[in-house]
Amino acid sequence: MENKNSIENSEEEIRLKIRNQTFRNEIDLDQYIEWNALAGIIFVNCRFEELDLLGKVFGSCDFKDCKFNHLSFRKCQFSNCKFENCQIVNSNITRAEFDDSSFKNSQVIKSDLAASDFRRCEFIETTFKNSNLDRIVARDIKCWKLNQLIKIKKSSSFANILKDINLASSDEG
Amino acid sequence: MTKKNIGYPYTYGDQLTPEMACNNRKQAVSYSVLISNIWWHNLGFGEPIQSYPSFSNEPKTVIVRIVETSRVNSINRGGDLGKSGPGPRAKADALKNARKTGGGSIFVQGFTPQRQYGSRPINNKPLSCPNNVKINQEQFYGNQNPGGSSSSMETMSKRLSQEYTEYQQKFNSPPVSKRFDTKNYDQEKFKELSKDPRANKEVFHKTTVDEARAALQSEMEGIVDNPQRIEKPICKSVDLDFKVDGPAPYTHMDVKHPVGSEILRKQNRKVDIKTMAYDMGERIVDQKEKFCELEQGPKSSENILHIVDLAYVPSSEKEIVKEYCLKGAEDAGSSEGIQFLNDNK
Repeated sequence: MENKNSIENSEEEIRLKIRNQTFRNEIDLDQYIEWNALAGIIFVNCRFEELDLLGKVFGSCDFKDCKFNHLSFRKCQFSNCKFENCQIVNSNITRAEFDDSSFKNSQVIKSDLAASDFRRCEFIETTFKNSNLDRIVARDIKCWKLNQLIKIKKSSSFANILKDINLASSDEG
Repeated sequence: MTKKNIGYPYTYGDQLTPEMACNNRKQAVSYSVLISNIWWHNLGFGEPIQSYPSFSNEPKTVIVRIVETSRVNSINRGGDLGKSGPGPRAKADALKNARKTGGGSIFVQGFTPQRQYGSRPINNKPLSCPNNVKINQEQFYGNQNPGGSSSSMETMSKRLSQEYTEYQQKFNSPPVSKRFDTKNYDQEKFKELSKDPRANKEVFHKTTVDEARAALQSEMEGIVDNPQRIEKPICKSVDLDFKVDGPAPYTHMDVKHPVGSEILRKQNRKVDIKTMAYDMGERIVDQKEKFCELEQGPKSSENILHIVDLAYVPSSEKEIVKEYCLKGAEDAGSSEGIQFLNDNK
């Protein structure tokens, strides 16, 4: 059951923490957007459904145990964000830019990441399944799988690297 | 000889003489004209007043209220008008009298917070929706600019996108007033370019409106010819912002909008403007390579022009952003095919 009164300030960092919320339209999220950005918010166990967030900035946001379904993150900029135990499904992440961000124990499923850009990011036990990874450019990336670290300085074929280390897969083989 | 005093609802610390009362009546007339003009602006009929105060730490609902009143205050406190009107004490008295009597003096309306008519409450509207109330300006003004538009690009941008409007209301750095703006443009083309080309319905995002502004400005400055959105389904593979008809060698164009350090801080991004600009330069080079040799895409990276619009970068930081953007591009391969807009040259 949803807890509607779950917005609180995290004492240690004075950051807004939102728990157990479901965002089904842009109006729900609008109250947290300033300067075209969601800034410094911690989302815990939240669901994001069918939102069009084209061009939005996510500055130092944490997503823990969150689910994203049918979202448009197209042309979004993620800076210093953390995704932990998250699932991103059927989402448009084309031309998104990720800087200094990390994905841990997360899954990206049936999503389109074409032409997105990752730099100084870290992927820990994170997998991409049935997703479009064409034309992704990655710089200064660390991928962890089974405690093994793979460092990528620069790659314009990030999809192939992810496939090689079994972090990306598709049912079509 | 003792001057005759008369009653008046305002207290200036002295008794009011007939001469003072006469002056006050004249001022009342001039203020009624001024306040009418302010309402006219707030309704969106006139050009926006380019003065937006910063209220970064205020809750959004408070921001909305303050922004609405700040337009009034910014005019009446302006140095151009000086002390031509009643001072703070008179305004306070006017407000007090109105509360006592329930009166609707034009002074009270002019100097106390008012709802902004003609706009929907901000908290109740979806993002990126055009205003439902469309006002045909020609019914009021007539088309004063045959061949062009009766409203400026800035005004039109605000009408198209609520996101854009909200962003501009918070943006108080000087460059916003220096950003290229004109009434001499093709309004229909601007609207067409401002739409999200991938969306199934008509959506105007802040990002797409900003892209359209940069595209039309580039065309007007002779940097590109005839920018057009790339039609579906080609845009799904050739994911650049625009195709153009030249000048050679350009066939495609993409737009970037860096921001200044103040906005970076407010967005809680943990990078400084040098890193942001350097990364942007690198990304531009990467992007030029991404879509080459795709069907109906650019033949080579030389065919893609990148426009870096510095409209959201304060004047004091524009040179830094330019320098590091070009440095990033150079280090990644080449700084060719990059043009800056609104760079205060």
